[in-house]
Amino acid sequence: MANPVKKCISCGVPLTEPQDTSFSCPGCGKTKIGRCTHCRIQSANYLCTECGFEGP
Amino acid sequence: MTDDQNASNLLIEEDVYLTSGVHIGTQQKSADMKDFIFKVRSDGLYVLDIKKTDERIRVAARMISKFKPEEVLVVSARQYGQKPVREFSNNIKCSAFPGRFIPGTLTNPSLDVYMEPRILIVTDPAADQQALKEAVSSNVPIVGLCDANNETKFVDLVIPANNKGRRSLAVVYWLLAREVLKERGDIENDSDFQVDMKDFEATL
Ligand SMILES: [Zn+2]
Ligand SMILES: [Zn+2]
Repeated sequence: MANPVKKCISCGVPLTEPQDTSFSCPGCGKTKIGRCTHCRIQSANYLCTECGFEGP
Repeated sequence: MTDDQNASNLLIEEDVYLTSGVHIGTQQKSADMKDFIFKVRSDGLYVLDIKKTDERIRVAARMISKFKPEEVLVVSARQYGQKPVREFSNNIKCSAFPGRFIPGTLTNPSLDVYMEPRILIVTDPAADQQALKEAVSSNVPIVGLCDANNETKFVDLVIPANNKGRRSLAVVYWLLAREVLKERGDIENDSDFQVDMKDFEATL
């Protein structure tokens, strides 16, 4: 319940590590963006499926 | 003038950004920041795209406003960022940690300064690496002011900006405070934000 996002939005791996994170899409606030440790380290792009916001 | 007065639809007159040097980057650029760089000047300085800075301030404000004030922590180890983060925290009622970040602040519950923010704002991912590292180990998303030479490792939302200049940091945090208050509905218009931008500037 605490973490409704289960997968990294960029690469699809399950979010299980303490250095993973999730947050509401900064663009629209409607979707949840999950990012795995690897993608955060690589600064991999993420794309909101709802509003098209591209981060980081 | 009305609230959304300027033709370019920026949050503030473009001139204020430019004269404060918000767009002035560094002599080096990182691969991470290439999408935010507008051009390289003849003297070798990389210039940031002010439209993207403006857009990201709006977006960051929206993101920050989703959290309770007490869940937000803003830090600046850089000297010129200390006054701006203090003023930012006074205005949006969040926590601030200006100055050298005490190791364990986010990870050691036995420290007096211990806190558990749900979102961290760093003034410079390099200078604020201790705070960043501790937030990262506890799932906390990170908003970072990033200059042309910054790596954006672990930063979840980049605000491209000159994060070294005194006036640049004042402008960015002043605008961010105003936009957070608007997003929360604490103020309705830009003109309701009766705070002098000068109050955000570090004294020389
Ligand atoms: Zn990933
Ligand atoms: Zn979105």
